[in-house]
Amino acid sequence: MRSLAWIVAWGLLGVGPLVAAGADEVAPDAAANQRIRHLLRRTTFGVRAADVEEVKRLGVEAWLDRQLDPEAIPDREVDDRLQGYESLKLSGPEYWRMLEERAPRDGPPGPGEDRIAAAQRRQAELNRLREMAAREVPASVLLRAVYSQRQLQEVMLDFWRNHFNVDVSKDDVRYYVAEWEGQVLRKHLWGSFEDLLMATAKHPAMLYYLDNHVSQAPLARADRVLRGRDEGRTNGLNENYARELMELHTVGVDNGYEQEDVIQLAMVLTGWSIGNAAADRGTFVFREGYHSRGPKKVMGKTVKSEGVDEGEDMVRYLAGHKNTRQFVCTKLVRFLVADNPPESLVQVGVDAWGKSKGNLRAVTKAILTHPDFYAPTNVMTKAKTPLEFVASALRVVGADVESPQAVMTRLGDMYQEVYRCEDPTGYSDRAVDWMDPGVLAVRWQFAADLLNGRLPGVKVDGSAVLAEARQNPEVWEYVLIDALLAGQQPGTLTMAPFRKRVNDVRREVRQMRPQDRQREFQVLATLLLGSPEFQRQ
Amino acid sequence: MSSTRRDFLTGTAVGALGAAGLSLGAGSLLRSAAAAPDSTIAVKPVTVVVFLRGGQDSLNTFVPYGDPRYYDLRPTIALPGPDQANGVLAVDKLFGFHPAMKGFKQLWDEKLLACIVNTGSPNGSRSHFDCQDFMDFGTVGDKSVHEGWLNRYLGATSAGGPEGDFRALAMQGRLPRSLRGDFPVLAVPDRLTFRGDNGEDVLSLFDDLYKAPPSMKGPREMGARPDEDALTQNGRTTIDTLRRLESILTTKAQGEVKYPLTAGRLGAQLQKTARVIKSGTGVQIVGIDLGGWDTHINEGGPAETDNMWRMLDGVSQSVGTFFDDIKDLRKNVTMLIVTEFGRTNEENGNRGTDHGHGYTMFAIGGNVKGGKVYGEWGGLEPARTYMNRDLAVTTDYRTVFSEVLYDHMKLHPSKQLFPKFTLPEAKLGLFA
Repeated sequence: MRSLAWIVAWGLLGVGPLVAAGADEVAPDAAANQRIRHLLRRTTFGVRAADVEEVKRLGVEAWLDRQLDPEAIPDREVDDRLQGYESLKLSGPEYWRMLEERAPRDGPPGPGEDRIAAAQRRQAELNRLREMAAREVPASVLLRAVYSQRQLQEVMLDFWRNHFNVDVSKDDVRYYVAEWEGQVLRKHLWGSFEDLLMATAKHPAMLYYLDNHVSQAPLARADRVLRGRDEGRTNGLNENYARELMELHTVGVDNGYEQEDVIQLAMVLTGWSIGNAAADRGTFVFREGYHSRGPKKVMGKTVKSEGVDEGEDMVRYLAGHKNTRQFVCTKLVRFLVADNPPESLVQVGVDAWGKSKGNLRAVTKAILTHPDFYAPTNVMTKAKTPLEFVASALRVVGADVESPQAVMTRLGDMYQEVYRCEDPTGYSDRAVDWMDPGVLAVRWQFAADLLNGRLPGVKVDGSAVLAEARQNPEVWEYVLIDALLAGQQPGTLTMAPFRKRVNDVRREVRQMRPQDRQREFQVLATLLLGSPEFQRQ
Repeated sequence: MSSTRRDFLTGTAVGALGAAGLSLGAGSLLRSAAAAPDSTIAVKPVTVVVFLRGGQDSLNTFVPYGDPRYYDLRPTIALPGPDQANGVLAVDKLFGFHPAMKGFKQLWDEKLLACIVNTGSPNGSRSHFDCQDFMDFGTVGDKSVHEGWLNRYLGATSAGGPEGDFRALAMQGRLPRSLRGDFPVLAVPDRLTFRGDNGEDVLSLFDDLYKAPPSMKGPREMGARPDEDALTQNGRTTIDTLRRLESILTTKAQGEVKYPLTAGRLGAQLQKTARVIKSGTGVQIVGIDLGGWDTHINEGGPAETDNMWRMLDGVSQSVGTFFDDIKDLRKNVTMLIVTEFGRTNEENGNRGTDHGHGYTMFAIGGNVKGGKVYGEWGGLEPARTYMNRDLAVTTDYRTVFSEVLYDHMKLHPSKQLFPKFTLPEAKLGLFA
């Protein structure tokens, strides 16, 4: 009967519009509920009725503290669902070894196979092994978003994954992405920004993605021409990583550096590379021979150290730079609060950063616990990204995702394939970048396919909701809303046509044949997932 | 929508119109369309903007092979001269197209393609994202403008009627930023049919939910934010436009040329573009993005297996096919090929190039005075380059955009769409 309790709590039974207009007319309980829903919309991948109940039971503060300490939360469902994902725990070197050990060897064709078929089979197997992490890691991201009890952790990982974007479609990145996800992002997301930044800077996934692994001190022209076409040899500076390290990862674009600083920082980072010898393949190495010797000056700061220390000093310098705080906190507030980040909350983040020496748990908590987080202008004003839409749809209908590949393909249709953003900016989380006319049709089709069992490997069982609806036909719409829009705040635009549709069948619900009732559930649930409200958070 | 227009949107009428156009030629088509009772069915001037995202390496695309400095600067990735194997496709003694770009050379020879050298933004940023925004928004260094220049054009020329949703399309599931703004533009999803279990139309299911007029009276409920209308409007545009476009985009036009399956989706995107132009629905602006041009590494040189070779081959084939396909409507269509910046004159250490500045923009179409190089070539001599490393910018990209708007699209001269920009007195004169 939770639906009835909910309706009574909202004072809605038999009332026309769901909620009165002004905040001052809202009962205290309802106001508290609204705050809980707002918090959950921003800290989970989709609000279920059970999530609201949990926060009520624990209290907002205790719930948030628990989420901020995710290691203490058991996550058995995720562990179960990720069993059989072989690549998730592989480090870079282990991935290379795995490829070496398991790559199919040449041999005689199998029974019923000619030589061409055998070669094709071996190639297919090799491709499968090479693509394993590129397939499994993004799938694991989706499954965790849907099923993890550590929702805030998964939400914040989505932020950092885009802040430090890498793309598995760029060659070797796919061999490093499992370690990147586990040992860089997951390991450091609640620690200091400096540690996180250093871990990204020294990881083969980033070094490969932004080409730093081949950057080296510029050679004299004659040497360059001589060595130019020599396969596999590199012979000069590559600015790619140095630029994005400043522009995207730390101080922000044109925020205290010039082109000459990009070159100087690239010089500092020459030699930060990836091992390719038997002993160090797939690990961070510093190549003395690549490193540019001589004095360097970046952003007015003379680099005093030598060798690999130069880069480490600069990474630390950038991590601690005041522009970095401002830039990263602005992005965090945009992600957690509003597309136009309120200055006051950015300052809250910056202050917490200063006090905690850039501790990301402290900064995140400061933003989420500040009263301005709940300001009415921030409520229901962010749009869900495709990942947020898809994950929340799967969460609220209680989908059983046995195989996520069909869902991952749909994310591609929505232009947000996990770990396949080509631009080093990562995916945007602003409404303006996702809610183009036309996009909704793709989301509607997803909702319809999800509820009609047309996504292979994904099951939705509406029987519990249906049973409840059958007992309460007079408030059927609330039963459904309670189940599917538990975190949203339905407005007239959805409610009027939705009610009309419900009213048409209201009296018949009790007598309906089960398959008709199922059909009605599918249509109504599709409508709710496709409603304007469900696109917001 | 008038019944005449509705009729033209059905498959048979479109087919008939397409056939008429192809057999009678563009002039006849225009005349017959103008004679039709509803003028919205005329094929209007169209601009197709293809944005090569990532900073396209102009020097290895429109190659200054006649300047020996080019070979000094690019010892491993330079393209050989026209008399050598896999050499550039020369257009004069200085310039030639990348050897993969036979389609472009053909368009040049037919005087349909113009090269505007040393184009770019007077702003010196080398950030992909700032430069893409500036190019898309038609501003220089001004971050307060967030509306695409093509969207501003649509707004400035809107009759305020329901014709809106058809005037502009993005042939991809996301709008290029140049098309973002107040004027509703559809991002055409990659899949075009939206069907439920029994073949019923999923769009219809949402008809009611997204029908509420923006002026709806009554108490504003929770969640009814000021922008709620925008989302509802968005849904409305989605339903109306997709419903009308589905058959046009999925039906092979009569006499349609076969498109290559290369260059990512570009071939398919241009095929759909041609279909919608031929359908006579009045489309005027089409936006397409093509990524993958941030060639810091292994850009490659004159081998057919090199990355840049394969990418340019795809673009060249697709664009060439498109202009073949719309042969009779070429006068109506201008295609602009733009990128956010060129790349360094000198190759970097990894057979690639880093972020640069000026580049060569291409304008293609029957209305373009093609087969000609426009703009002032800055050259590769260090003193004449930007910061001793990149091509200088001698033509503000907004000059090109403006000529397209005023001289091809016939925007009224009183309308000024680029804030803080004054058109230079000496025109490039891209259009007849």
